[in-house]
Amino acid sequence: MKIVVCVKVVPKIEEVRFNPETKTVDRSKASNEINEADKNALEAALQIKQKIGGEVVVLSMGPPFFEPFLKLCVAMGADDAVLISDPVLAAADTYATSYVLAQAIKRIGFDLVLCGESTADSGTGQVPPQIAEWLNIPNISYASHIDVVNKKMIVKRTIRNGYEIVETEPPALVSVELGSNTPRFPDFKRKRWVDKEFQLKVWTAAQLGVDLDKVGRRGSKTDVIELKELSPIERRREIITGSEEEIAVRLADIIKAELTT
Amino acid sequence: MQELWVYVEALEDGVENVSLEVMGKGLELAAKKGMECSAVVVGWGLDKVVNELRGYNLSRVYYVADELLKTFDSSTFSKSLHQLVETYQPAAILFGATYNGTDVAARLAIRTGAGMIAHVVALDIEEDTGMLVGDVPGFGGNIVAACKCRPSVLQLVTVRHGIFNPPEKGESPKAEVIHFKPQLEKTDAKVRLVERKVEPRKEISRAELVVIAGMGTGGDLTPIRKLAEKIGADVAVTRPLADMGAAPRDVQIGSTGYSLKSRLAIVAGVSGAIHFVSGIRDVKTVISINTDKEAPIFQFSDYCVVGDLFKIIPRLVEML
Amino acid sequence: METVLNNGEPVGIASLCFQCGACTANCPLNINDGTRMNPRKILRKLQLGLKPDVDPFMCMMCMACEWVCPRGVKILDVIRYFRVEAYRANRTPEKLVQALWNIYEEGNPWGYPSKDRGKWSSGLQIRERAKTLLYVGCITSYDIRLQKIARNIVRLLTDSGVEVAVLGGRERCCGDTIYNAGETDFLEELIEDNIKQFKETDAETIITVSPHCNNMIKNVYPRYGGDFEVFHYTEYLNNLLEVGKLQIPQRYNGEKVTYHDPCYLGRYMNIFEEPRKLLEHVKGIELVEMKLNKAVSLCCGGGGGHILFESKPDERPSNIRVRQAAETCAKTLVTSCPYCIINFEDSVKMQKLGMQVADLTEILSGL
Repeated sequence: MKIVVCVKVVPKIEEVRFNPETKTVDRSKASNEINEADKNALEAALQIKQKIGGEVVVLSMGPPFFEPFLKLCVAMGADDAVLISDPVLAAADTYATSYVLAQAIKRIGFDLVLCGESTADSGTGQVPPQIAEWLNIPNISYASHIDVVNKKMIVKRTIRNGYEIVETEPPALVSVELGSNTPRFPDFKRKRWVDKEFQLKVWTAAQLGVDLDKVGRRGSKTDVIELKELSPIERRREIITGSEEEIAVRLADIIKAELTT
Repeated sequence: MQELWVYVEALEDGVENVSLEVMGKGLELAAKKGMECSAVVVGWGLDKVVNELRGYNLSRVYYVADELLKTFDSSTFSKSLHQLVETYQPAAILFGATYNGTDVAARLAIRTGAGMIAHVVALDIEEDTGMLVGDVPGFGGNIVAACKCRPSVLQLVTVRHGIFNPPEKGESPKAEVIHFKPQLEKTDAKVRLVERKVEPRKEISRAELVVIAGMGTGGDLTPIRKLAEKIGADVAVTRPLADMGAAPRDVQIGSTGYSLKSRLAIVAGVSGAIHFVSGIRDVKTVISINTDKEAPIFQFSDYCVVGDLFKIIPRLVEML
Repeated sequence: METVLNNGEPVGIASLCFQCGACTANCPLNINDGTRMNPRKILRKLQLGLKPDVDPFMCMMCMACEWVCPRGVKILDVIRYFRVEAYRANRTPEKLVQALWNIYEEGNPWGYPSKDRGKWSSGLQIRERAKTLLYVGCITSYDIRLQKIARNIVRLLTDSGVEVAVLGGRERCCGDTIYNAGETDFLEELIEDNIKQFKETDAETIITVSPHCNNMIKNVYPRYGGDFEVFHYTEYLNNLLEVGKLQIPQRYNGEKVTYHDPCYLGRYMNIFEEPRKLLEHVKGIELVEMKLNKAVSLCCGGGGGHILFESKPDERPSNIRVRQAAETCAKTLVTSCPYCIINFEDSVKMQKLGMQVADLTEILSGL
């Protein structure tokens, strides 16, 4: 089975700073990591490959600094890695992002596409179903377990207060629930080979062959018009003093405010 | 007149709470802009749900029904909804940001080329343009982006649960029911339901409001439970209390237990050793109560109370 | 079987065993009813060319078995062999795999943000380069209660005229957890990176806070090119004491304290007398010994990676250990390992014993 796993590299949330003056998000000093749910997706793919054989390709759209992270995925056991990198693709919303990823997936060829349920930075959860729509394939979200038996896929998915077991055939897209498995640690011996010898495929927009009206800022269908900080990342550490009565009143106010936000 | 639709998700017994919350906001925004507000239900065998929806001050209830829509499949649901959209051309559709709702809205966004604003925590409409502006939290919820769709035939918004209020019911059922039969082939339904189990599973890691008890309670969770009940929170414990059997391990918080992503955690009688605090790191607001003013927990809290939880919590419950 | 250890194959190690069973009798896992860990049986199976049925991750690596063995069989090397084998066969406990990711991404097994690692020293002026480096370790850097220990050591050293540097936020895990997980390749890279980093501070001497870090940097790092003089802080402070350089406040009110020998300090490094000499130097302290002290000290249950696992309350040796401490009627249980402190504080709280648990530096600094 050929499985394409979509991976995003995200900044460490606690290192991202909001600049209240310029009202912009400053990621420049934040270090990056592979989006946790995407690791779960890759682990699910590797488990399927172990069971029934096949090929696992990781795919990402992003700037060149994504490369070492994709190489880490190969060290985990992926067979190949593709990075779509081009300044014209930047500042894309989910519409434009899913379009590009879908074109890349078509070019790579697939039986199954796996994604993480959502990303740690924007967390919309929209890209997986949108990729599925571009590819005209079914999508199953929040999968906690995937079984591939006789060219059929049996997926257990989480719903509120329970689960569903659904069935479909490839080609299909499944988004994997965060924490539904323990991602294997990369094989560092393999990583040494990957770092020295392995060449991942890097495609520009032109090499991929995309409709420029559907990519990047130009192709997006939504805009951010203002950024606001909701609450700072450091704890307030505000000490509440007074009589028991006074403390209770203050706490009640804080709690009520929190409940209605 | 322009229409604002609210996508209502049906359950076995009624509808999703968030769908009603979204309806409340939808009705308010539609009135503000002088638009009509209608509900959309997609499925099969949902006549009872549709009829109940008529009791709200909606203009219409669209019922997209087909046997192939009996169980959820984002492909068939978004295809059917797309056909309804092409027929009736709403200006905007609001969805609850549920797993299924997001899938349908997302696929519809690609089909129609519409912009989609995700899991908003605030929503308004521009009176002059009729464009919706939604506040979208990101980066762990600390940073919020006000987003708007680009001018298009349609705007799509998903709304986070617990933000808005459900509407009041109208005096008498006024809404017109429009039955819509979508054009679907059997081959469109590619996802088949094998089993569905709803079990009240304690998923403390997804709890929004939590009251956590530590050794300072001595194992007596009575005040904790009373507070939790009053505000609709879950009860969780630290490791020593789970050891004692005061509560099961599936509500134990910490590095060898669960991590919370709640909006609010009230932490009572917990000293705040590092293996505990890792479990509350992603909680938005932490209130701590401890008799020891040097307790490490205060370093990881937003509001710190040095005091006796057995005295303070009962007073707090009275005030709420 | 592949040779993964410096001292030879596990079968070779097992050949010395004459099946007396002292190891199994002494194992803290067998302290309650039943035999949960049976080194004697494991070694017998190896001698017979059979595969032992053992969960190597159950072991706390406390060395009680090796210490009583009349033949000097390196039982822990056998356990480690099986851990490496389990890692390669994907049978490592989840918590340890997560810990590996955490060390890779955040520099510590718990995954606390790397940007917060240097915060323990806020307010203190400490140099970045000196011939003596204090290696603080992960849990001491992040846990508020344990951070005091690092601050105490810095103060004790600088008051005694020692120029000491710390890595602060740049410090990364010593690799003890990786070693416990049975992973060998990332470990090699991490150790080489750490050695390079230590050299960049001009360090010739390294002082450690945790006996676990001590074991890694002193015994394992030399295999990868680390050639520093490594001391646990108890050793180093005792050296200062012996040449009359140690400046410590000496006020105490005739309090009884008892000292617990951490496994990784006592049995691993043969450091029993140094902490006691330091305690005796503090005027007003009465040091009493509890049962199973020094070389036969009972493990707190934190070694071998166990500090990351959940455990059943009645299976925690630290519960028994604090009761043994309470039996001496000492007011304070003193020790010199951060894992021991965490486990003992937990056990004291759970059993409502009313004892205080303190690090040795807290006694030296007048608490």
